[in-house]
Amino acid sequence: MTAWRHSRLGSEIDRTTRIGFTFDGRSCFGYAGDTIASALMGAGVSTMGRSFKYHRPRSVWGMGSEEPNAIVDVIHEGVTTPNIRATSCELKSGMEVRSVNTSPDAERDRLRVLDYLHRFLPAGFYYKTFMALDWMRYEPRIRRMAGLGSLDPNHHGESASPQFNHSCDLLVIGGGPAGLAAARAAASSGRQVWLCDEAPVPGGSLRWRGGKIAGRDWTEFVKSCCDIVERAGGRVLTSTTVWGAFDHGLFAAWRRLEDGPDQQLRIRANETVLAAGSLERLGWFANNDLPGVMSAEAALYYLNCHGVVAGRDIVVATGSDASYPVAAALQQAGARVMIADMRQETPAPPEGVNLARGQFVTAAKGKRSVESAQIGDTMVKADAILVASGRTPSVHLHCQAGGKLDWDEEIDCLVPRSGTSQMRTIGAANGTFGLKASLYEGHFACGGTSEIELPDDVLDWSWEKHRPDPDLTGRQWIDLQSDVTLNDIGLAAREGFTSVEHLKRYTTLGMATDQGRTSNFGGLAAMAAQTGKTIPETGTTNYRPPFVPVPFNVIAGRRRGELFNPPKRLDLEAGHRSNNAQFREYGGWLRPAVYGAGREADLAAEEARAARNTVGVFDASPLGKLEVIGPKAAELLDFVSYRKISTLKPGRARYSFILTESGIVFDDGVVLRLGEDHFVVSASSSHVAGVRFTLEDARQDRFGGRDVFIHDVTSGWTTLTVTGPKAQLLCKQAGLGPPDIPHLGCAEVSYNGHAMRIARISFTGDISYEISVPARHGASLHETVSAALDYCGGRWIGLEAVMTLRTEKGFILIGKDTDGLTMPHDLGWGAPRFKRKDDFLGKRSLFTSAAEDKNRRQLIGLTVPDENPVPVGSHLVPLNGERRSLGFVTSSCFSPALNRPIALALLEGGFSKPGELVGCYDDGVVIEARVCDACAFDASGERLHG
Amino acid sequence: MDERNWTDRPLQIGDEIRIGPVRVVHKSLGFAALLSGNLDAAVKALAPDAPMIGLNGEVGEQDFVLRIGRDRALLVSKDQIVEETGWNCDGYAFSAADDCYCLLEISGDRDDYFLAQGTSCHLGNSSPSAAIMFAGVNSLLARKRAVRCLFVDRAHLTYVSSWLRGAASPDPPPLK
Repeated sequence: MTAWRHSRLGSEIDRTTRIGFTFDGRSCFGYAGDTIASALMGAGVSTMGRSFKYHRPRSVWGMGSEEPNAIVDVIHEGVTTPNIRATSCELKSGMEVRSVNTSPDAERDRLRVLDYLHRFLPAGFYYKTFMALDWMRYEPRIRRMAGLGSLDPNHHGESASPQFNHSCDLLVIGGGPAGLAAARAAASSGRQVWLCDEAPVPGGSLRWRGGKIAGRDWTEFVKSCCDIVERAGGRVLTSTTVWGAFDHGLFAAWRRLEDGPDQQLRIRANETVLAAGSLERLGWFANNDLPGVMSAEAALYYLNCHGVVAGRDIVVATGSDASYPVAAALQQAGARVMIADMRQETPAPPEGVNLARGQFVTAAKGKRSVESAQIGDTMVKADAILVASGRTPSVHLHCQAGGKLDWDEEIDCLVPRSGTSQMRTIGAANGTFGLKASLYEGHFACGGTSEIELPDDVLDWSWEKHRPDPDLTGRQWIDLQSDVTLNDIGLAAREGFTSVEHLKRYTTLGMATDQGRTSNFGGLAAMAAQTGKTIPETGTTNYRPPFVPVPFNVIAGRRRGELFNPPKRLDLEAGHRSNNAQFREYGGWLRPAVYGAGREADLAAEEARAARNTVGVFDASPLGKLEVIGPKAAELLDFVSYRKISTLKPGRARYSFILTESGIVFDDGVVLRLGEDHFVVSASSSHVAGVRFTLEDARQDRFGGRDVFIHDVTSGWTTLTVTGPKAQLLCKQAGLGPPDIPHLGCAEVSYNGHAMRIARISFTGDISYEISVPARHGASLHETVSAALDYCGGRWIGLEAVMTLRTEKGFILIGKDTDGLTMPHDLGWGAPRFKRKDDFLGKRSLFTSAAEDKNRRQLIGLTVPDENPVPVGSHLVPLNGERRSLGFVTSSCFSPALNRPIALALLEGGFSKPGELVGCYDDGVVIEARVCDACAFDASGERLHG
Repeated sequence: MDERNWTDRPLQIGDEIRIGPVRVVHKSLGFAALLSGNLDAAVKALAPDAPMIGLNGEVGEQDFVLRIGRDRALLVSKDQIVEETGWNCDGYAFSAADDCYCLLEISGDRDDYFLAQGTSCHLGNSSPSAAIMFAGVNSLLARKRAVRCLFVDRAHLTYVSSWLRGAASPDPPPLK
């Protein structure tokens, strides 16, 4: 391939602005308005990359997002962007462009030797290879050889890619002739139209095909269309690729800006029209992947838009009149052109162009690029073979939206079946080829009533059918980006992978980042021929977003870093920070882990010791506060809770579980009864939303949505938990509430003129009070409690200390000490399932044979002789006999109160194994441990009751 | 990122964020209550003159009721709402919710472009319910003349204010 820059042509480049860049270290230049591909062609670069599998030299095939070959890494202004399509990326000054999958560069790639070994790299290579011998030894090497571009590990992407939600009356996808006509017709009738096109300027094929419409230059037509759209309040968005069609009429678009970060647009339209055009198919002949073989339409685009001539000796291999203007333009630009037309009846060739009727190229010859073309028995000197063997409508978005396809025998295409997706398809995307027909269809599709402007001359866009020919000598490429040949399709068929879905996965046909735009038709045709079926019988694979590779930072938008999964924040965060709290995320909330500076484990131990000896206070605001209100509140809670709640008296609280329908423990917590028809469910911090949904499910399905309601007021209250032997003293000192609340009692009181709720509930085994006030009074409460803490000699404690205290008591944390199989009787709460006669959520699942298995994993405690706690997650294994997992350690820490490590674990049949020895296996080491009761501290509960 | 490394801080009442021409102010909500059940009876009993407002509804200067769902609403008042939390025999549930929501007032040129970054709801339309998803969290949206009133869960205030602080300025208009 010896492409060259014409001295005059190129409507979209500015020859007064030269742009310097490098390709594989070599200095090149292009012009403002060039793409990387056009600049490389203009600079005479022939090999732009190497093929994925065989490392064959490759150059440009197409002109846009369908490009399977010219994929490059680009470093610009210190940012590396891998795997960019050179055909879609605008050239910028100082760009460092690198070929991908090459070493050291595209021209001298060392792995080109693989092409000689192609017989040993057949379809299904990985499937076959990774079953043989000791595959783990050679897999890393093969893995290193695979892939395309290289990521820069230091690159974190643009900090903020904005995302915008928008709606419009009509969304037109594609700014070619059909899309423009449709948008204009709709806007003329007053509709608000958004017209999106992935090119930097609208016009579609008019940009390179040119011509006159109603006697005026095409540029006037495009301008008038855009003006009408914008005057009607619509938008014309260029460099904007609609990459996904989703449910409920949602479309995602990637917008590239000159002077700002890329944007993602989420567009909802009342109506959508798809005018995405069509793509040229590959031509099938031997070595049809060599640099110099390219789409005829693309060659015309590069000539007229960028002033790049595809070669000096050009063969146009075609079966359509539509290629004759291409040949004429190239001849007029100075190239020697020959047309090989597979039809016997053809128009007269353009002046100066040779024509071979009834002939098609059967092979391209050349080592690094095309040097000659074989046409029948004749070898013709050629450095470029331009192929026009049919077009495939771009139906991806129609299919993403659930649309179906029909086979149109006459035009040899799969076309959208009307009414099967949320959009209408027009123009070439609908199989309506040719400028006149596209304008006509676009105009009337969107309510055009006035006279339509039509072009002066009309071209016949029908073509002779062309298929891969298994009788030809040499390798024919079906999928250029995945390096799939016709032989691979044949092999897949022989090995039984005839289903189109199997074919795709076995050969990787259509699985590359070009989404098989240029390859799918050839693959289907080849498999249809192999199996003796028709193309519609063979079928198509599914189309999924994204339509083009979209940078992750565009999809992620601003949900990254601190905004990726932001925790909820405590109202008293500033107060805790002033006490030198170190924060961590617990159950979706940012909470103090420990207070002060130093090693976390040491600080937690000190805090736990203080809480056992005097008094500790921790912020328990995230505990759920789900108010269940109404005459049927007790009935609802009876149904949802494992323990009966309706027997609870006002002013009292009860610990209970909420189960799933399968009887698994979903959450635990305390229910407070504040009045006959008023309860507060104190769900676990991380389960508030889930518990609320469980309650709502039952409320709406079982109770008709009336007479009981649920209010989540968790965020509105600040809760401080005071715990320890001096808890009552602290409350008295701070003037908080009545001193004589019994264990599991609660009271609503007034404090400084505002509401306060005190509940005597313990998560530590010591006397504890949960004191809740409206959040706006939290700071005042914090101040009061801090002063009282100083008086009592206590301290603020973080969640790490709380975890230690509750582990000492064997109190569970849902999701940590339970898993997806744990039922309440595995935790020692077996009674309610036998006592309760009424129905409750999950009840039936508690009486299955699996639920009553004696060897279920049950919660136990462990003592270890070592000074160090056993790692959480260690598997419990038998000390003798075959090693297998009997369960695992769920919580483990050093107990300051007991001065030894303690642990909780789920162990098979654990309740029947007190005193037995088990092994704790972690990272190849087995530590001996003895099974004991889960409660390691104050088993009689003396401290709890004071 | 490190789970401890949170650089943002809560937005205090009166604090202001400016993003180009857009101004976001954390305003005091006053007093509020969650109502469920017979909303007509609840409003009649608690704030008979308060209008029931949906998406983009005008909140005015007096009491108003923001509809959250078919049978759920948030009553907002300048004065303390005197009612016992629990069930009312007129058929509604009442919970004091003075501090459940925070109010962010958003004003300035092209605030619709600005807000369109956070919500997919059509900002020019109305709806019986004021509930929307904003920046991925449940919120309520109304307006006070030219000012948008965004009610966010108190625990999400820091996140939402960080989100707003980093949002793209609508100046110049992003779609011109």
